[in-house]
Amino acid sequence: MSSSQFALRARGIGKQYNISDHTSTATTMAEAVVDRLRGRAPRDPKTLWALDDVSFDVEAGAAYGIIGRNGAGKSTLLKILSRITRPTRGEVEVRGRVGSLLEVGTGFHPELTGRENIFLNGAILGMRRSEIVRQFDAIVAFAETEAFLDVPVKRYSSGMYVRLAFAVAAHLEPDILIVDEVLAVGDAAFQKKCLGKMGDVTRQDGRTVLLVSHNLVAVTGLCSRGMLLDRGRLAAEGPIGDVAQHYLASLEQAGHVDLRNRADRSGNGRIRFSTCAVRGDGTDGPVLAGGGATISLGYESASTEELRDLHVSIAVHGALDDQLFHLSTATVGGDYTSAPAAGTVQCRLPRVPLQPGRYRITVFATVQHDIADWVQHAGVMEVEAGDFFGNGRLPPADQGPMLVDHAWTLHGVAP
Amino acid sequence: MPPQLSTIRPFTSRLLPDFGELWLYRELVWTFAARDLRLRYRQTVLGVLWVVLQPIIAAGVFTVVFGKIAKLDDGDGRYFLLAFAGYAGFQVFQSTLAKAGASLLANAPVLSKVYFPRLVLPLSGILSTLVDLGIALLVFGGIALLKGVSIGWPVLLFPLWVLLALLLGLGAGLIVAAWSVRFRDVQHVLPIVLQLLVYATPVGYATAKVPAAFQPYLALNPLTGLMDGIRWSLLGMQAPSGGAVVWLCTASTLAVLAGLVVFTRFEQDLADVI
Repeated sequence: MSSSQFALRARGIGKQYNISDHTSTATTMAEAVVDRLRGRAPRDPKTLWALDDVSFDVEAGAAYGIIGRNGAGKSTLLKILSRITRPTRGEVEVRGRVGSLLEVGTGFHPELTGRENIFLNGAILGMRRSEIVRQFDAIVAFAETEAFLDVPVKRYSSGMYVRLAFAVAAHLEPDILIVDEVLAVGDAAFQKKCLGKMGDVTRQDGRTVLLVSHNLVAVTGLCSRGMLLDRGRLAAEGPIGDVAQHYLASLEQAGHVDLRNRADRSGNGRIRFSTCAVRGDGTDGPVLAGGGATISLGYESASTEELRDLHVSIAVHGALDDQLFHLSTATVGGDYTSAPAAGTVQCRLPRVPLQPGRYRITVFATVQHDIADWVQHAGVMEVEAGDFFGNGRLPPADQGPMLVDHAWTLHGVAP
Repeated sequence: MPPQLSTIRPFTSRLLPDFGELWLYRELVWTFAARDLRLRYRQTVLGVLWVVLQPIIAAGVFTVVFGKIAKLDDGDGRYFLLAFAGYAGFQVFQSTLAKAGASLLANAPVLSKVYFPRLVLPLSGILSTLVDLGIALLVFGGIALLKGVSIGWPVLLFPLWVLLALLLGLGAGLIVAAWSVRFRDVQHVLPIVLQLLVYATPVGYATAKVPAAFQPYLALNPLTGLMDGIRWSLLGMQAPSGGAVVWLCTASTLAVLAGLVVFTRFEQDLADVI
């Protein structure tokens, strides 16, 4: 690629965060003054390199995908590229105006009407007033919310809200558009429309799109090249198909979490969960909606003595930390009257009843009816789109996370 | 037109904001200002009437407390206007400071999701301060007309006092904005400081009524010159001394420079701290 063609050229960017907890950093003036008086400069800050030595080029007019697990540094990279935060090291050369879309509806105000929010959100995202005026009708038509233009958006359904917010964003006309995860919202038809719009942006308008998403289907469908981030480092870079293969391979390990170092747990410690792993059926591991999955919990105890009356349960939480359902040895199979001092408990879900998304798992155990260990958010279950109903269809994503088997009948009434 | 080439770099030691970039974002200042004006009176029963009522109520309280109870009223029937002018002038300073000071925390969700020069937010508060002032001046003009107060050429200097009050308020507000993100204490201390400042400044009383022993302390407060200047322009009262005006101009300039330097330094780290 000749040097005149790049839209973004990043060289060795790194970002260091201070991850000291509140007790070790001064957050009130009094603490800062005390620190200063004691001659103690910032209390031994713990730091973390959220990004480390990341270099890449994005060709102008290309769609470029960024994939990686949560915490891999994707969001940090996007924040640096969109100038929200600065890199600690390295430089990025940028050719053209950057529009970033790290969430839909940034700055939307519930009390303002749809019309007012279009202008507010557009301006915040970097559009000029004249651009918004010119695009106004197209935005409204795209959002399909004509009838509600002069209603405060607090009266909108969540679907309408998201459609309006995305419509504004989709009409941004920067040279480089940076998009984060936003495709995870809205119903399936609207998601498709958004993907189509983004495809148009690169194909027809020759603009550059950077897309971060968990939705591998979207990323591979839209992007030609991309990168895989793993714990802040560039794990793979190149054609999107190869990068996606790397990602799928790493998912196998991704569902596996080491719990030994978790301090935020309760219970008497008679046993301790040591690992939490979630694995889908099949070779490449992802959990599919409607597919089978196995949650494996490794546990250890301090003594070698056999355990009596072991009860294990798992709570699955949704995006808002709302508990969705409960899996328990007390309701299915019965508690174990005796169990080895260390081992693995497996819970199998033959058909995962969840929409695509990210769910958190809390694990709980009692031994002889006393709480032995309880770890909130011990693991994560990433569910990808699958065929729950056997017809390839899934309900709109904004209609709740659970999938429930059902059947319909209709009986007429004789006149 | 070939796309513009720019570079994203680590922390820089730039002292003052990039005014060229700020100019590119001038429409956003206006947009935020319009948002705040719209929101302020939406779903209030009396709506814009509040803007009229606030200075009247405040000036009324000052008239009763300082004029009648503390017996500072000369009985020329103008005490209410004196307090009104003082309050309106002080409000320009105080509301600029308070709005600028709260602007970052109030918009934290936006700041962590989109880039624009952060200075846009504190600046956007100025518009609604000026709208309030405009309405207060209409009320003032009406009352002054009824009372037969003649307005002379010093009124031409009124915009200068407003500008100085804005600069002083903005400078302090920028520092408050930056510090309050780092230290939330600032939010709690600020109302107390402002409350004390209302009494330490001749807002509800005339400077001349202060006993001679306290005059030197009063002169240290740049807002004293501001109050005198405003009353000179609007009510034809005694003009502020040359020294007071020089001190006010110096303090305003220093405040704004200090504010810009503190804010610019802090701005770069903002998204990581907020």
